[in-house]
Amino acid sequence: MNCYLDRSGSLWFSVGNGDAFRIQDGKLHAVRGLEQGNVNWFLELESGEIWIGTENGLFTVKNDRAEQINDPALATITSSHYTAAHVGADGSIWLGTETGVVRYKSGSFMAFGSNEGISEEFTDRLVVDSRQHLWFGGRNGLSMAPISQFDHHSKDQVNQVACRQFESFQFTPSPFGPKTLLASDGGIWIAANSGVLKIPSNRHINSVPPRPQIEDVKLDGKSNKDVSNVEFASGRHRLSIQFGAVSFSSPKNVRVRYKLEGYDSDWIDAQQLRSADYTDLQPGDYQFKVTATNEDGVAAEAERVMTFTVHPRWFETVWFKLVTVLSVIGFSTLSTLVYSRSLRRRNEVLQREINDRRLAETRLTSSEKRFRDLAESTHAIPWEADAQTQQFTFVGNQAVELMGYPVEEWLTEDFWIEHVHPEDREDAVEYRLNTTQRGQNHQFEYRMIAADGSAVWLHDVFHVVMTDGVANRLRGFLVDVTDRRSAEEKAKDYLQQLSRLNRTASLGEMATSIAHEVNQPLFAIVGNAQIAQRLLKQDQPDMKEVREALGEIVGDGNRAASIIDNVRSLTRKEQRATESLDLNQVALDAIKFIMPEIRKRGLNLRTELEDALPAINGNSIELQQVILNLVINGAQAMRHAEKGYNELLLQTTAQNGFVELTVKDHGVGIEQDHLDRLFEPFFTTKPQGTGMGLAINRTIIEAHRGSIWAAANNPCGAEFRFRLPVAESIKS
Amino acid sequence: MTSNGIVYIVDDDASVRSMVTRLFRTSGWQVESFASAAEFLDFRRPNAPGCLLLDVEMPGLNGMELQQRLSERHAELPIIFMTGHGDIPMSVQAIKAGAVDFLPKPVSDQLLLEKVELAIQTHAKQERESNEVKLFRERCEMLSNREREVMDLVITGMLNKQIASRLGITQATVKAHRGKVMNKLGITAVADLVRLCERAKL
Repeated sequence: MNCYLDRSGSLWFSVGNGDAFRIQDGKLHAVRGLEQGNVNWFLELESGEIWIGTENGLFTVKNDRAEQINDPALATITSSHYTAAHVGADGSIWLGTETGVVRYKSGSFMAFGSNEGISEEFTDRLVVDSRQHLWFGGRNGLSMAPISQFDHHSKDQVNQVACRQFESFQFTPSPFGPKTLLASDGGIWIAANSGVLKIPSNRHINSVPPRPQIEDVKLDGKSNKDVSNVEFASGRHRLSIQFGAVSFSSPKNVRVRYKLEGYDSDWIDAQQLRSADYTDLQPGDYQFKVTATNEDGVAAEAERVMTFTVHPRWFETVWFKLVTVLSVIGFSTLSTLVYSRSLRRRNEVLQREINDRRLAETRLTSSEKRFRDLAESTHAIPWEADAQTQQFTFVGNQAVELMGYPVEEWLTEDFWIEHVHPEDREDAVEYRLNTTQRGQNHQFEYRMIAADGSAVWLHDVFHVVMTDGVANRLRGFLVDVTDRRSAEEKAKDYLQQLSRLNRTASLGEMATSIAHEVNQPLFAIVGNAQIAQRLLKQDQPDMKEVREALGEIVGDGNRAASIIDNVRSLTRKEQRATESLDLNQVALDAIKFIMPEIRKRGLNLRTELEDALPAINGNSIELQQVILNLVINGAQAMRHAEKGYNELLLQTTAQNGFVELTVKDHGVGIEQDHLDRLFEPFFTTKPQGTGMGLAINRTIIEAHRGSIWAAANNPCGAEFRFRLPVAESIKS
Repeated sequence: MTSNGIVYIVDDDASVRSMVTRLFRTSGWQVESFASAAEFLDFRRPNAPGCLLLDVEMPGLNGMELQQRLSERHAELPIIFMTGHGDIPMSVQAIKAGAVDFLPKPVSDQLLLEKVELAIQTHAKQERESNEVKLFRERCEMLSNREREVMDLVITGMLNKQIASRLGITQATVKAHRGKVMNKLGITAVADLVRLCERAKL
């Protein structure tokens, strides 16, 4: 129930639930147009207009008809519950709502809610005192702010209204008004929960402005009392600025705000905090400002300002970038110089090594000759023949035992030519005739057919006796070397079998790789065929795509076939055939299969192949096997390779008269004691190793008249190198 | 048929790359193919839904490593692995790391097309939804404290009356707050509000 007497003498009253009435001159008039909800207050404006505040909005009354006031400014405060109204001395009308305060001045509304610093709480006590402070309160407490603050806000001079809060006064909402009164002595009266709160007009107002201060600046936790001189380099620094404001009467109610020019776009209300923290400030000049208002809204006379500089870090400066570029250029030049010098040095070392090796080889040959001479003296058949007709004129008695023919038969015409094995005949006869004509002493090996039809291997050494510059007689020795020869043949067979076994074993290692290798073209073939089918089903097939797809099917089919062909050739049991080879191509063919397996193990196989390598004579499959074996060995040694050492290097080089191939790994390396024994058969350090791999490698390389050896790699691991002589035709 | 999405292919085998590119090109997709993981990482991907067809065995970075790099970059591109000889542990690892599928080569073209289309659709949907949630979060920032309080109670299923009594305000104000919440968030139905709050984990 609310009552109000306007200046014209009308009595306004409400009786709950939206019903309001006016009594004038003894007549009752109902006010229509109010919606449901309690009427909280009536108010007469200067103009005589009557406003009604209800739970559901703010209304103006014209001819006893209430119309809702819909102003865009009112929409910003959400609540339509108008709880209190008060007319200030300046003619402003103050309205209390559930979510803030509204000021109506000079015909326009201005709403103050939480964004403007006014508590978003139920405000149903509202009064302006004689010193122009607005007091407003409700369930959460009583607040006070100078009206000048609201003026400043309206002129955009402050973002928030500074209120002083008295939380100890809390008022239970009540539907009956009015609940505040401005007394004639200037004091104000506010209805409280039990009794009345009186605030006298001579209430002390603190007119001493607070003095904002910057007390300390901490950089990464280190204190810097001299705040006038702060500078530091950018980066991960934490700058903590401590500030405050001196005000003695009510320090708790001082309101401090700060702003970092160049960083904050607006003033920040420090609330209870007295420090501001900044991290990762960009290089530049900054100004930190602090200002404050005291409990009665009196603002500080001046802001406290501190300037500081954030310097660019050394690497952010221009000169640093310049120096970096210059030093990179300098360094690369220097390293090129150092690298070429070390290459020269390595070349000299290699040269020396080659000379040493040659000397050793010569020594070996002469000792071998002495040894052979000795052997011949014990088992040899002496003979003499006519240099022109090749007819024997004399043979030792051992000849009968050896071949089963009587001595007389040896001495018949063309005996030698007729009894040389048919397969060897052409070469042997031609060789002997040639050497005889040139007058050279010589030795060679060939087969003869014995009386029992068996083939006998003979080592034939002879001396040409010259008379008057013409070859007259031949004198020599025949040695039976059949046992040695057949042992050699067996060894060769054995070697081939072993090689095949070894290749088949390597094949196991490569099974995944081969499957992958074949699978790729197959996938592409199937896919392209499906695409072609799909395209051809369309009404207007894109024939260009179809043709391309078919073309790729052909290409990939051939690719798959050649892969399979290559694999089969590795396992084929075939005789040693030699041909002119490019070792680079042999190496590339060999590693093609093992490459995916190497990658799967997280290793990187790098090749450094010398361009235009001279050709060598050899068997491609056997050499591929050696290379494959060396690469697999390297990869196995690097099973536990450290990061950064995952490179396996395959190199080819040409060295006067030789071609060399090196495989370098960064694996576990070879113990010094083992270096000499590595190539012995059955010598192995691997639990599953047969110890045959390197032995077979050596046999193969030596069969190619080459050599193979191992050394330590730098900084870790091992290197295996073999060398093969360049093919004759190129050499001469 | 022209589809809005990009198929990325990373495979070191030129034949496979060419075939897969043709398959998707002739099916109306935009295709970008790369011979190595490094090439793909260097590529500036346009902001469009897509799907990555990735070979496992490659020199340099392999497929699994590329997947890890992408996840470190928070690139939420769906990945379908293709491999010539994948084993179960490998596929488990890939799927656990977020791969959409792990297909053995050779893959039927029909299956590949279906898988990729599904992955791209899913990706596009995810992108749309994550944009929606992002927008919703931004809008929530605009709510005042009181509005936020009201929203938090609304999504628990409380009636206006209950909210009013909980916050000590009238029903009319609750209604007004609610209206402003819905307005600011650009939502008309409470069901949407509940769904989005759930999704945005608010």
